[in-house]
Amino acid sequence: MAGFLFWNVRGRRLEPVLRRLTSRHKIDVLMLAECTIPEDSMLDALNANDRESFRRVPALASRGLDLYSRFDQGCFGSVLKEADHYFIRTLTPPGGIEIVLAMAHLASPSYKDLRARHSRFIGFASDIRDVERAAGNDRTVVVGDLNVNPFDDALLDVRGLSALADRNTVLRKDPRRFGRRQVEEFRLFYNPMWSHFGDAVQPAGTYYYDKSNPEVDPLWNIFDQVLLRPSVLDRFRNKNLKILTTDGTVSFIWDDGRPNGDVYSDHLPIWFQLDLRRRTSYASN
Amino acid sequence: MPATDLWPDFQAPEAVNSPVFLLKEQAAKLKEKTKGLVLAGLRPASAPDGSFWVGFDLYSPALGEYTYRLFAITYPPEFVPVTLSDADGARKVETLDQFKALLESVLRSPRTKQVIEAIMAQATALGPEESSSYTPGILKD
Repeated sequence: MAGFLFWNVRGRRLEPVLRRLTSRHKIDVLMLAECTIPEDSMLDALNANDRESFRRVPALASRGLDLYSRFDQGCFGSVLKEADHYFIRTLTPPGGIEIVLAMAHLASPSYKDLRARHSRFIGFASDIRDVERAAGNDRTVVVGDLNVNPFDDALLDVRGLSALADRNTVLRKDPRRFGRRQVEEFRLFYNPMWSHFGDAVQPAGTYYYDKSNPEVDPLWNIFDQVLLRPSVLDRFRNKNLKILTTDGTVSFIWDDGRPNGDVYSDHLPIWFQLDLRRRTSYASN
Repeated sequence: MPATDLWPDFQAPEAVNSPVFLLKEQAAKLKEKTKGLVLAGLRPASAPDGSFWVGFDLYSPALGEYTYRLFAITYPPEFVPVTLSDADGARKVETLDQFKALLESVLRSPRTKQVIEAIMAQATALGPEESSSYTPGILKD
């Protein structure tokens, strides 16, 4: 199983926390947004245990997107698409299958309204399709702080990422077709983050914000997401995705469940595993 | 057979001379000196390295959810060194006496005085709100 962790760390120096998280959850690929931790300091922390062998995988995207991995750098293909807010490359773990990994920290609601963010998604989705064609591989995984909620149009629009809440529906309806004479086809993603909304399973989201005070506002948001193409769904089990609130030593949340942005980040990290081994029988959910 | 007790005897928490008790004393004094118009809430958490973190937040029952983070301190279970972080940056002291002196300089600073007087003015203008339910810190005085 390949372990992944994504966290928008809000520019905080959280080396000890990241060391504990990567060890506790056996993380192979550590993806960070708003990361200002110097490479040397990060590697000292991640490799404090002699058995670890994390290295930084360079990327040019801005907004503090940073990628560290236990996998050899050769496991990561060259960056196939890159923009200010995302990069897309292939990843082939040792002894595993190749996936397309799109890592993003998309435009913030602080600077772009929902329509503008929606517009950005059209371009992001187009770049993903271009990479899938170029790589001849549609085992695509999108990870990041997307700065929209799963229910926002940007994620539901077929010209956006078209990410739905139910894997069976995704498998049945992919691709969605529109038009009678000129049929347009749109690929779907499965968005497992839908299942993490609300208080049935704590925490109620990955990001809480109550400062702007509009009349219509969920307050709890899930901006930090993992989206999967149908062709990788048999590699993913829902129980292998969690929003984390502790590293086993410290808590990232206040007593009332909101992220402790004063000390850690106003976002919570997400952990997930994919079974990327080459094999003939696959996991089912 | 009585259960084996491997623990030592513990000192009552009230008698422990620690940074957070000094903050709690100052929170009580603030309430007294502002006649309850401005209160201080102590917000505890764990720091990334597992040491204690305490935010010192100013608020007023008349101002709803408004809070002002005056400073935050971090310290290990041994209580020292203490690092105080505020708008002027982070300062580290090695003893509790040095922490007391640093705290005094922060509480008596022109910035702190201006902030507290501004909250008092705002609270006075908006009037008391007896039923405010907002409690920003769990270690409130």
